[in-house]
Amino acid sequence: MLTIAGRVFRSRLFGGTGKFSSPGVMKEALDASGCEMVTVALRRVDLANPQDDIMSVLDRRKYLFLPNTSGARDADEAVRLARLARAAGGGEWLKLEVTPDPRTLLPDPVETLKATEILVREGFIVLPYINADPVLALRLQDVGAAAVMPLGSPIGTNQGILTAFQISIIIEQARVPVVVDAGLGAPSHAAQAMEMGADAVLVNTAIAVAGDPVRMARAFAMAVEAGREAYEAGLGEKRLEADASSPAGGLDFLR
Amino acid sequence: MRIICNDEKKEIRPGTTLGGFLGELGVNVDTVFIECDGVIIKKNEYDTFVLPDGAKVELIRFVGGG
Repeated sequence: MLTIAGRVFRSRLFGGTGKFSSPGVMKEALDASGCEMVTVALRRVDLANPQDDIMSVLDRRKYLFLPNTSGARDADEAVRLARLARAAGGGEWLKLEVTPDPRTLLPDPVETLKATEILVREGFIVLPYINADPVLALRLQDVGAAAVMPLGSPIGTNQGILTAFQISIIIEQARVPVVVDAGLGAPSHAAQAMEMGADAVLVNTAIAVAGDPVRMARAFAMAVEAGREAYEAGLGEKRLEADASSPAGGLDFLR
Repeated sequence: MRIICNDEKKEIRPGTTLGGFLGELGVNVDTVFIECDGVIIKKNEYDTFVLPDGAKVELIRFVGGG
C-alpha cells in the first residue's frame, strides 16, 4: 500500500476537483474513482453567487484534502496561499504549485524549491508539482518534500507522458513517493505511469471533461490498478531481437 | 461607514461584526475564511470582531481545482 508522510492510501489514484460540469457530477465521479485524496484550490468568494460551494458536496471524512497553491507566480504568493489554506482548516497537506507563465503553466523550479524549504519548516506536508527534473526531485526530497509530483505533460493538455525518460530516473532515485501529475489524458497514460513504477497518479481534466466523467473515473481507477499490478508482477525486458513464443524445435516433419 | 470586500465597496452600520456582515451577504461561515487588512481572522472571533471603517476584507473559500 502507498504511504505518504505516514498516511496509508489504498487507492493510488488522486483526484482533482476542477472543471466538472456540476458539484453533483464531481461527487459521483470521485466516488467512482475510489480516490482518497482530492485537490482543491483557493479563490475569492464570488459575491454575486455566494452559495456556490463545492465543500457542501465533498465529505471531508471520506477524502483527505490536498489544497493547492495554483495561481501562485512565485514562492511568496505560494507561501501566502498555503498559510491561508491551513488557516481555513485545510490541514497540513499541500500541493505546491508555482507557475509564473499562464500559457504553459510550467512550474518554476527555483521558486518551488524556495517555497518548499519555507513550508516544510512551518510544518506543512509538501507535495511539490515539478517539471520532470531528476536533479530538482532530489533537491526537493533533501529539503523535506513528502513526495514529488512530476508532470507527464503540461496541465490540462491530455498529452500523456512526454517525459517518460526523466520520470524513470526520478522513480529510480526517489526515496519519497513519486506521483505523476498533469497531462494524463487517458487511462492508458495512467497505466503507463504505474507500469513505470510511479507510486500514484493525479488526474483531473481527463475525468472532468470526459463525455461521461463517472465512467471515465472508473476507467482510470481500473487502469491505475492494472498498471500497478503489472509493475509488481514484473514486466519482461525489452529486446531488440525477436524471441519466439512458440517452441523453435519440433518442426522436423516439415523439412 | 464603508469597507472594501473582495474589491467591492460595501456600506455597513458602525459596530457591525464580521459574523453579522457574512450573514447579510448570505455566506455560509463554515466554508469561508477571511483576511481583514492582511490578517487571518479565526472563526471563533467572527461574532466579536467589529469591522473597522475602511477595512479591506478578503472572503476566500475552497473551490474546485487540480
